[in-house]
Amino acid sequence: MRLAWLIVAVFAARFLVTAIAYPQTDGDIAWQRWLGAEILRTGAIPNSLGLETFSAPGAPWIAQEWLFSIGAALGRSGFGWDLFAGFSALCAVAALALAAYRAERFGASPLAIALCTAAAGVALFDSFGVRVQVVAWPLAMLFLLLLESKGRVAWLALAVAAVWSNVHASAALAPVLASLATVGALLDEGALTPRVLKLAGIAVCSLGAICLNPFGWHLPAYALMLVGSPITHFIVEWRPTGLDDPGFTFGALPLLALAIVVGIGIASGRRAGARPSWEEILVVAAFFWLMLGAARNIAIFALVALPLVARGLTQTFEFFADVRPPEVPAGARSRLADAGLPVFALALSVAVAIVLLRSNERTQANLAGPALAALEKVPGTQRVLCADFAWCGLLVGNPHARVFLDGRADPYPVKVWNDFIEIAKVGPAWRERLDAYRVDAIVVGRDGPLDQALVNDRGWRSAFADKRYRLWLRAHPARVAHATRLAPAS
Amino acid sequence: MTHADIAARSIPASIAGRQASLARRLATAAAPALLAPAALVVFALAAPQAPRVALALHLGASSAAGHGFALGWLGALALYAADAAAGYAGAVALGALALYALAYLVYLRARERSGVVLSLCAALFALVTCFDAARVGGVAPAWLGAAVLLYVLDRAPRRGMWFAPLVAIVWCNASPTGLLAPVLTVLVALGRAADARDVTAARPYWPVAFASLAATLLTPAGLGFPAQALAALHLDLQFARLLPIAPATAAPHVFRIAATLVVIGATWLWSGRRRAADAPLVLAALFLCFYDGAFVPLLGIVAAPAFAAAARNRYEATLAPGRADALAACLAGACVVAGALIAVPHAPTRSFGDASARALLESLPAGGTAHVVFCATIASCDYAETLPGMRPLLDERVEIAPAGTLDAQEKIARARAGWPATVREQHVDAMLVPRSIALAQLVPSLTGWKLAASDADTRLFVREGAAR
Repeated sequence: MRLAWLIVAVFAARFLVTAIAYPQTDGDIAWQRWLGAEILRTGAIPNSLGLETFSAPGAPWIAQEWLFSIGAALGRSGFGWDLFAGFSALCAVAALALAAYRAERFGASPLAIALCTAAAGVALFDSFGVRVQVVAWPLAMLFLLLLESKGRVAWLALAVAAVWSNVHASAALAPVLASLATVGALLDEGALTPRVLKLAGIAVCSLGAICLNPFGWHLPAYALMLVGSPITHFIVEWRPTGLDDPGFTFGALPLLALAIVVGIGIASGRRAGARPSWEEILVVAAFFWLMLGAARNIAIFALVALPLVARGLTQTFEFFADVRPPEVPAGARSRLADAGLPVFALALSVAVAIVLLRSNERTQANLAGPALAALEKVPGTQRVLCADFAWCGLLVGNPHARVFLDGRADPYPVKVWNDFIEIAKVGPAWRERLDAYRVDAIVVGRDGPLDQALVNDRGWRSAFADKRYRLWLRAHPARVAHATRLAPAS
Repeated sequence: MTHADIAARSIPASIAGRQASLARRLATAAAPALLAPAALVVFALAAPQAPRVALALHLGASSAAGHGFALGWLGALALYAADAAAGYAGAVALGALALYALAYLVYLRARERSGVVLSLCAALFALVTCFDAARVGGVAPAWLGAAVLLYVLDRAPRRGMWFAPLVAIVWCNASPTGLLAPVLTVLVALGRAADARDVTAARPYWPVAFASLAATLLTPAGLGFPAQALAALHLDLQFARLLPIAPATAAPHVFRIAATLVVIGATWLWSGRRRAADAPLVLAALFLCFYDGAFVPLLGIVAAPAFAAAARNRYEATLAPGRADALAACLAGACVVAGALIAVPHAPTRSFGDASARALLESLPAGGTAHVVFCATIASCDYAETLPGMRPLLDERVEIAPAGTLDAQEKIARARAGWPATVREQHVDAMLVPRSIALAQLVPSLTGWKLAASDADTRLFVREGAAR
């Protein structure tokens, strides 16, 4: 770990600065703040979409992000935001550190751990943000770490699964992982040993553990539904992983390449020439499968693969083999040396943070903020459609606006999604859909297809435009209202 | 243990020297026969494409996108001959025959290093990885070149390996994928050197690699072949903007499962062995798959024999021979069942892939001047090449199109800002657009354009005043 700490420190600086100092790059945090405030105000978690949307009010909603949202509401601004955003960054750092720690437990050398930690850190970049799934990363790592533990401490994995289920629906992976570990251990040991039985017990009990949340069994059911849901085709981070994902190309892919070339090594304690552990192979293969299916899983694959690849490197190449210096008796000099590395790591992280803060690579706000602000000046309550549904996350809870679709995404019915895509992608029936839903304000990217279509449509007028966004309002709202009275309700 | 030791352990003579049961002999005899129907099933179930369209694509005289030598002329000629001799059935039979040969070569390579059942598994796995690329005019038969080349390279250091440059010549003339011949040779050499931990172990391969490299120049394209073929392999992410080549799109049925099986195989079979002569090949094939799903068959061809060999070694160390064969037979059965489960629900109807586009284009009579046709779905324009008086802005030969044409295609297809000006600059006077995309709704607002024909899926617009 001694070299890995340096790597972790650099990434810690990167994550902290990105989380705290840079502008938001997605709209989720806005509706999560609203959700948290609602929970704090009413003392209950909403179980359906409300009047903040006009396309699907009353649609069932598993607000899986409830705990994170309370934190977002409490850390709305100022020092509170620094604390909240810093906590998200620390979760990513913790996940990386836990993965590196797993590597050390697996017997990987410091050099191999450092190299693989660097690759895994890069793999986290694309998915990192002040986002709820980031908080789930260390819980997933901790769950795996506990599954591998000997003795009764492994049962603590159930507590982790329970906490995990209160943070994010990815907790549904817990019983799957425990089951794979059980099957793997059975294949490894060839008999129902106490360890196999323990893992099987954890697998079964974790089914119950992930129901220890305000939604009970509905949470895993919801996660299962989401896996096969067609709406994932419309969400960017659910797209299949490819070489155009830098986190994959420069982070996960190098780890994958190493895994293929050198394998994942043999667990310590096994005899020479023994087989690698099925328990480890099945888990890493499961995360590889998930990664191929959705780019959002690149980070978690890298975290899971890190320890195994580091061990494979250590066992394959002498260059990476751990050559430890002979133990020196503890003294003032050795204590100074022991303390020196963490101090150096801390200094390094501060230096990297300062460099990042001074750099000009700050992200541009991309949430159509000016166009949405212009909407505030329009009298009355608007029924708003955002060409990128994430932008409308900023309007959730706004008393002057009801949205077609927003970053909550999952609870909206498939029909609403299809209609949204028809309009946003300017399908053949885009006008009819707009009229049927009585949309009266549209926020679009400047010169995008929908913007061009609206330019050619006399029923709409531009109310605001800057270099990137345009706000369109209906030219004759009353006529639409008449038309929709004649049409069947949406 | 050196590579020579492994070869000595795994040559058929050492296996045959054991007490072979009657059942095993029967299996050995039946294995090649089993592969034939499997190859036919894979090819027959895969999406058909009109052979004449493919021919036009390869041998067409002109394209508004650019002029270049028809890469893969030999493959197109073979397809033409099959089509001329027996029609569509002949083209299907040719493809199935190529797949069978590919699978059989994989079987032979695996057989040299493992048992009959594992080898059969390996061949079936290779066949399954061909599923998404197996169509008339598709790329799967071209990978026969890779199978032959690797089989020949396995003869090293014997003289047989010197057939490799000849294979490279034929492969390069049959398909642009032939450009990989020297690359595969180098990867085999590197694998052998890494395996033996001795760079001299690769020495026999270097002259062959050099000769294979020279062989890539022996096509009618001459010195231009490497550059053109490199572009045709789509090893540039810009092509993914225009063509459905991402693995999840180009190989939707087999990529994910094949890649996961390869990862499981590599981690299970190679961990702790300190030897992985085939690792560079497998790694390169997997990497290429992420560029273009058309490379998935290559992954099967290189990985299957390697894993069969590694599994054999693993079995010998851990399992009794009878149990190993039983397990391998189960795996083979599972492969067949999995293949059928994957393939049957996706068996396409027997029709042209883009009948709608073809009918609409035929409705556009040629006047005195040629139409320049824009197709939002590039493959639709392949057929335009065959119609008199019609030139596509861009067809699937994206590799020979100028960069400006590629940009124009993307700009128009995605209705990016300024696309009407691009339509004028490219002199496009007919546009074939699927109804579902934004462009179909935006073209009618262009001055001087009108709807000429449409059906349930597609709209054909023409510029007023264009030749009709």
